[in-house]
Amino acid sequence: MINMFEKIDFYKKALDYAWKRNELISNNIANADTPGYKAKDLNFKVFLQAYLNGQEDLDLITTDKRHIKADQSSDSGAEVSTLEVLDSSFQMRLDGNTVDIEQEMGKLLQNSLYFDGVSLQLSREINKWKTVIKEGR
Amino acid sequence: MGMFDAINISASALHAQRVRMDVIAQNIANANTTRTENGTPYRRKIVVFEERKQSFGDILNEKLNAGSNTYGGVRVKAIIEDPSPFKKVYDPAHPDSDQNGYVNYPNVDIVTEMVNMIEASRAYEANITAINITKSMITRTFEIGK
Repeated sequence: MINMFEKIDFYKKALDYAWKRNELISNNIANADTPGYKAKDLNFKVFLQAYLNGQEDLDLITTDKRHIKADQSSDSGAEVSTLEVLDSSFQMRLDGNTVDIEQEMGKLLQNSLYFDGVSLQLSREINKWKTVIKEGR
Repeated sequence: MGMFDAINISASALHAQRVRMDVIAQNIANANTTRTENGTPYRRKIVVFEERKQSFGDILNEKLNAGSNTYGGVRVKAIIEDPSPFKKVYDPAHPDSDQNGYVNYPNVDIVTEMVNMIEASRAYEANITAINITKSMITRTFEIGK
């Protein structure tokens, strides 16, 4: 039987991603006037690729059992943080700051809508299961 | 990935921008102050921001969880004095004029200060927006499964 919660887990990961990204973008906006600060972002493509390749948790690859595993805790922060990249649109101001405030506000809004969309889908997925459990009543 | 981390980040920026606003107000208020406690004219003050690093506990946790980065936002590193020269104005009647009749006025340029003030207030607004968006995301999570 397929894993009942497979889809829910996937949505959960997508929400994790959006949550972390919100934090990152907020940090970029907060540091819009900090000299030398470099804007950061999360790479969704890498995130999705890794998931589709079945490498769900994006762990560190270990070649020996004495190596320290990345996800020793259930905290899913570790898997997302490996995807952190410097923002590629690299337009530096004179003070070394690369934050483009308009772009960041746009990303913030997009990310929030994405989050809303995924959480709505998650709700519907849960409601489907509820319907099944209640035998369609 | 704490629940309110993003709000704390934006709040740190709100605080930093407020401090900046205070300093700008101080500069404008003292634009014509020719005599401070040290006897010199008022020197323009500048706020320096830096990225706020996490506490020791956060960094330790980060290392234990193999790089689950947390962010601290921004903080005011220092308030420094602008070393640029004072404005010299010829006004022999002024009690603070030197023997040649020149008065040293503060190196405050009102136009620069106004521009900085608008920038600070816009940055403040941007962070408020960020907080509101985070708030809507948190409320949305409460509705999952409804």
